[in-house]
Amino acid sequence: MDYNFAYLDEQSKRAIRRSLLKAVAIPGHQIPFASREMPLPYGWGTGGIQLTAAIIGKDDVLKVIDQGADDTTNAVSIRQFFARVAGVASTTKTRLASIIQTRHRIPETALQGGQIMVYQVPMPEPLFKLEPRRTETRMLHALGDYSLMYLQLYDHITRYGRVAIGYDYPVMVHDRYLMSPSPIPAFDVPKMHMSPALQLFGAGREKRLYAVPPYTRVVPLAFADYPFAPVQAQAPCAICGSSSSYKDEIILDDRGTRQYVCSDTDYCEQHPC
Amino acid sequence: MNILEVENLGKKFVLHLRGGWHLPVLQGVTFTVAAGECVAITGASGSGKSSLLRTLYGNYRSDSGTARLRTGQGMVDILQSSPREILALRRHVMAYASQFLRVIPRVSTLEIVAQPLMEQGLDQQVAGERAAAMLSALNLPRHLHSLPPATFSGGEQQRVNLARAFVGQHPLVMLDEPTASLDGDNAAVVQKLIMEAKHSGRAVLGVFHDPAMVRQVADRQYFIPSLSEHSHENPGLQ
Amino acid sequence: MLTSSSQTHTPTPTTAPGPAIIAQSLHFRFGSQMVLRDVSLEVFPGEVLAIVGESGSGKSTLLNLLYGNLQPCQGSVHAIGNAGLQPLASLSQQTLRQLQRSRWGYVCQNPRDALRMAISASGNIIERPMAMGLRHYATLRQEARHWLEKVEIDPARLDDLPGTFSGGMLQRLQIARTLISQPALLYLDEPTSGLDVSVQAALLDLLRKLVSNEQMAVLLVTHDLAVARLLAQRIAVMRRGEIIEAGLADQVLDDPRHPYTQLLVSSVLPA
Repeated sequence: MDYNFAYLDEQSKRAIRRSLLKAVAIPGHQIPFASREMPLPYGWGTGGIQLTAAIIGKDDVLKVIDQGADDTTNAVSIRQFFARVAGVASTTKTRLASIIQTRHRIPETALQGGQIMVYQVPMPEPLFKLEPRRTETRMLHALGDYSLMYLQLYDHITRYGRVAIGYDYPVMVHDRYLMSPSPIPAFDVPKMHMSPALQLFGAGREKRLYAVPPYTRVVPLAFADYPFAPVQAQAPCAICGSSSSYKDEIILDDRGTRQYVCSDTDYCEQHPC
Repeated sequence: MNILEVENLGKKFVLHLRGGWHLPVLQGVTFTVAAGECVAITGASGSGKSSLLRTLYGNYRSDSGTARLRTGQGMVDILQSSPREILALRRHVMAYASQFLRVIPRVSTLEIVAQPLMEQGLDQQVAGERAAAMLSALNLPRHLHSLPPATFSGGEQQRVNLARAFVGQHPLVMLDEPTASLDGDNAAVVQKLIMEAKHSGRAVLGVFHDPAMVRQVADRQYFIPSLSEHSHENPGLQ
Repeated sequence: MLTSSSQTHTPTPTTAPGPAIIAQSLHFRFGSQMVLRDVSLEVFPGEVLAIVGESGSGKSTLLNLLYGNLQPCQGSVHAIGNAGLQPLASLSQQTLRQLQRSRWGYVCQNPRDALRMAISASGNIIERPMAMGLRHYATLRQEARHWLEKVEIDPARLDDLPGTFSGGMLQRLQIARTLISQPALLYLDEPTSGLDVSVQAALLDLLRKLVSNEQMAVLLVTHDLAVARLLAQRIAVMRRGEIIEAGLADQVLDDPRHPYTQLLVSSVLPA
């Protein structure tokens, strides 16, 4: 059976591109879009796949990572999906990719101009847990009133002595909109700031997309006397020895012996031991 | 120099709950009070003595006449003053001690007496010191100052009320039966306070139940002629 | 040379501050039902105006109009903003919300409607300064402690969730959270209803102190005439959407003129 190029029909892709243009024009602002049914369940990256489908061309080189790894089920499936419906080349090398679809990580290798990051987003609304009314969160965004989020940070410091948000750390985009960076670790948030790459975010179930254009300010929320300080594994990678990368913790036995390895498999392979 | 000039003051109650019954209380009341003078209002029981004081204090509204009070800005008609103007007059020009003490529960006696001074712009400490001195002058011992007056005896409550009226040094002090529930010693203190007020050029207007007191403090008396048809001063509203 | 040596300094005349809010001839209807008819009022700094009347008389609707949450179908409200009195109808939603969270304060009957029950007591208190841009944790914390003491709550409860507080403490918390921005205009909607009598008395005393210390203009909606007498200098009596009688608090209560006010005053149960 033959599909249209990149699975979605041309009108659907046009509609998504139009929303993407709007998103790029208003950095960090959530744009509603007509999210389609995709041949995989919500929560598996339907938003990211639709965005990738809308922007991918024949000459693109696609990289897909899931938790930093190129070889997990989800990453492999999505790569194969686009190989079949668009016939595009894929790669595991960050440097060689023109589009990188990702779940939960930003590659360790610095992104370059011309590259596009596509983030899979489960919940685009950063205030979701604090204010359940969508009408009200829209109002708060319109007014730029984010004291609610600061309140949560305040309570974190009070309760835990620090802002204990390990992933999906709230950020201000272009000094205007509060944005969920998707569930990437707080460790990765600084990579978003002034990135030369275009960053696109798609939430299929929630039918929202948003964007951070190249060279845009992305600043994590913090207090003057409690600056942004993401936690990081203290040990170097057990495989490549890198001490600057983000690590996965691997429990080795029942006594709790643990080992840390790079979460970014491509980076780990390239990194000289 | 007159502090207060009352002319043709009239007051009646209209009792809608009793089918719109008109109850005249005061009619054609005309008198003056000069600086340094104490005027006693006299008249039969129910002749409207308390109502007159309340009307002059702005607590009751009047129907006719004028009541001009000397202020820093000249003579001001109390009866024509707006609520905010009356409040300003109460702050700076006239004080009034009713027979009943009405205060916020749980506020200390000292604070209640210091309040008129604070409203005149004195700072808390000075106001507190003067209030304490006034209470002590009225034989309210220091250990009572920090207590709310709700549990005080009738006489003690009345002295709190009097302390409030005298502490602010208002040019006109109006007293409604100030010694009604006081013993001889305390009545003498009140008499002394009235005399001091007069000597400092202030005016006192009072309703006194005790003829001896009238003879001792009053320079003149104003007799309210009795109106027919009424027997209560505050008919059935409370 | 532009300097002049003979410049005389005339002292600026000390004019009394004008009203903090003026309402002119407000009308409001729900569908065909006239809820408010020709309501006018003004409140000055340092003054408490009580709006009394039975439930259904339009008190709360009036308060909402004065707060900018509802728009009158006729008439206008001018309230103190960042630059003197401003007509509410001319304010953008953004300016209105900003004023509501800084220069004005609204204390509602049920503190649970205003408080964030999932945020600590101190977090609730410092929301306003944070919304206004204060981003220093230690300073915020100090402010929270200061205001907790001001409303007479044990500082040990600083980080407890409001759900663990009693009704009176919740109301104090709401008051602290509201007054922290030192509003020029305060709206109190039945602030002491639903509290025990002893708690009510303490709260009245607290409100009275705070109001007179901060020189706020206060609109107090209450059905309780005793509360109105103790807190307010002036009273406006509402009935069926109209102010039928207004004046000095003690005057309206001791010498009521309108038949309805007389009924209201005589209906109070003696303690």
